[in-house]
Amino acid sequence: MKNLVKTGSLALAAVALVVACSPKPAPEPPPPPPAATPTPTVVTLEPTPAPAPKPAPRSAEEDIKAMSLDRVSSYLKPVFFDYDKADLRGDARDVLAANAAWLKSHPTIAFTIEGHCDERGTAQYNLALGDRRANSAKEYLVSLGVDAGRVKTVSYGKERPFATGHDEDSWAKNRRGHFVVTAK
Amino acid sequence: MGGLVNRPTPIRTLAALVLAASAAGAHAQPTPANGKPGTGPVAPPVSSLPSQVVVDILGAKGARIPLAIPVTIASLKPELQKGAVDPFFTTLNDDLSGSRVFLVSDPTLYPKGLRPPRNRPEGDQWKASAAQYLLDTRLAQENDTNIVVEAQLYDLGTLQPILAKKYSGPLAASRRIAHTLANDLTRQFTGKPGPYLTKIAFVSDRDEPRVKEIYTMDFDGETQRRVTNSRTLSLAPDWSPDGKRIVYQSYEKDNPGVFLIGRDGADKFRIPLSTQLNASPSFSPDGKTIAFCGSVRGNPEIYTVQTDGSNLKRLTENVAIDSTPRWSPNGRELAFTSNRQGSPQIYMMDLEGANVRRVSLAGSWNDEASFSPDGGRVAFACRNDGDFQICVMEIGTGRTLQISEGPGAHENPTWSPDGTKIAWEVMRGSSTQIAVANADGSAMRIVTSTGNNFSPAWIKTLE
Repeated sequence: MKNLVKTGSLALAAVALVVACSPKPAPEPPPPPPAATPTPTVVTLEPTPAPAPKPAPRSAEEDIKAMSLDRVSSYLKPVFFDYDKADLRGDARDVLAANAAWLKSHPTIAFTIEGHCDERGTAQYNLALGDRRANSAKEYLVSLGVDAGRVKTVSYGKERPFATGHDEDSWAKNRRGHFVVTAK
Repeated sequence: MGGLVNRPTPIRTLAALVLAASAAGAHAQPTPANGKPGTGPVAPPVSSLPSQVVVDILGAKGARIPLAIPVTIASLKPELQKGAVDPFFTTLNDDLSGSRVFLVSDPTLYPKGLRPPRNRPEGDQWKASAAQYLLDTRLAQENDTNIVVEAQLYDLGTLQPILAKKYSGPLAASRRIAHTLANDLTRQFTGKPGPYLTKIAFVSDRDEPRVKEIYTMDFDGETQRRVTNSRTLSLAPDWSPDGKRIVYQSYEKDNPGVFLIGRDGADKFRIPLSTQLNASPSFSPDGKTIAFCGSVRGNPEIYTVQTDGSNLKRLTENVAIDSTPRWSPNGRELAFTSNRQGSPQIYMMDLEGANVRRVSLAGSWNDEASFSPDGGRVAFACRNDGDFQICVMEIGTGRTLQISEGPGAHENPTWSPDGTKIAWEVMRGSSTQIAVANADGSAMRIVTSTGNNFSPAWIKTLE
C-alpha cells in the first residue's frame, strides 16, 4: 500500500513535469536570467579568474539524471549581447564563468549554444551575427577549461525570438547565446 | 463547376495552351478564321506588324503608351462569367495598369459600343479618354472544356489593328491567357515580353509554428504552392538559371545546410559541406556553382562550392562578418555584406576574392544586394535612421534612389528577369508580406496574405 502511494505520487510528479515543459514555443528556463538587464557599457574582465561559482550540491547530481533535458538546460544561463555585437560583455563573462563551473562538475553533459539576434537587422546578416555570438560564448567556455568536444553551436539569427515585442525590452532578450543540453 | 474553375492549372496543361494569331489580322478583317486551336500557327514575329513603337522603358520619361482597355465582351453562362471572364479581365487590367510601359486611360470616359471604331468620329470618341490605342478583347466558350480569347489592338490614329491574337486553353487558364496577352502587348512596344508569366519563390511560416517552408507563386501572388516539406526552418531560396531548381538553406537535423530541390519539390539534395552556418546560397549564372555564407569556428566568410559539393573555396578572409553573397549577372563578381569597416555595408569582389571594394557609401546599414538582370544596378535594403527601406543604386555612377516608403522594415529585394519590377518583403504591424512594384517603386501591391511571408526570389527566366 505504501509502495502504491509512492509510485502514484512519482507518476503525478512526472506528469506535472511533462505538463510544465511541453507546450513551449520558445524554451525559456524557469528562473529569470540574473543578468538580463543589458548595460551598454562594456566592462572588460580578466578572462580566467571566474567569480567563485557555487558548486552544485551533491544531491542535484542525482536529480539531473531524472530530469528532462529542458529542465537540465535551465541550469545553464543565457548570455546577452549588445546590438550588432558579438563581443562578450562583463555580465556575459560572469554568467559563462558560472556555467563553466557547473559544466565542469557535470562532465557528462553535452550541449548546444544557440546564437540569437533581435529583429532589427536583416535576416541573413543576423544568421552570421548569431553564429559569431554562439562561438564567442563557446570560445570563452573552452578558455575556462570546458572540453570543446561537448559544445556545438548553431545560429538562428532572428528566426526564433524569445520575446515577440517590437521594443528594446524584447530586443535585449533576443540578443542572446542560449544553452540547450543535448545529452546528460 | 466552381471547383473546376478554381482548380490550379497544372504546368503541363498550360504548356499546351495554344497561341494562334493570324498575320491577316493586320488587315481589314482582323479576326482569324483559321485559328483552329491545337493546330494554329505560332504567333508571327512582331516585325511583320506595322506601326511599331519602341520604348526605352529604362530611360522612360512620360513615354508610356496611352491605352484604353474596355471590359471583355463575352456571351457566357453566368458561372463562366465569374470563373473565366472576370479573372481574365482583372488579370489583364492589373498587369497593364501596373506597367510602366502603358498608361491605362480612364474607363469612365470610354464610349458605349463602338468596338472597333469604324470611322474617324468613332475613333475620336475613344481618343477622348486620352487613349492612343484600344485593346478590344472577346472571350467565348470553345467547347465543354476550353475557352477562346480574341484580342485586337487598334491604333486610334489610323483605326487599323496593329496586333491580332487568338488564344485558347482550359477554363482555368483564363488568368494565364491574360498574362500571355499582356506579354505580347509589351513585346509589341518594347521588343521583349513583360514579367507576367514569371514565378517568385519565397519563405512562409503558414504551416506550423517554428517552421518555415519554401513556396512558389505567380508574380502577382496567384497559384501559391509549397515546395519543401522540411518541417523545420527552410530559408533564403534562389533559383537556378534555368528555373528548374531552387537552392536554399535548411535546418534539417538541427544542422543548417545548403539544399537543392526541384521546383516541384522532387529530388532534394543536401550539398555536402564541412562548413557551419551555410546561409544565403546564391546560384552562379552558369548554374554550376553556389556562393554562400559559411563559418568555421565562428568566422562567417563567403565560400563557393560546386553543386555536387566539390571544390569548396573560401573567398574572403577577414575577422569581420562577411555574409549574403549575390552573384553578378555576368558571373565574374559577387556582391556581399561586411561589417569590416564598422557598420554592415555592401562590397563587391571578383571570384578570387580580390579587388574588394565598398559599393554602398551612405547609411548606417546596407545589406541584401540584388543585381538587376543587366548588371547595371543593384537593389538593397538600406537604412539610415528608422526602418529598412529598399534602395536602387546605379553601379556606374553611385546614384541611389529609395523606392519604398512607410513604416515597417522593407528587406530582401529581388528583380524581375526583365528588370522592370522589384519584389521585397515588408513588415506592416506584426505581419510580414511580399510586395511587388515597378523598379521605381510605383504601383506597389502586397501579393501575399496567408501567414508571414519572406525572402522573395524572382525566377531568372522569362518563360
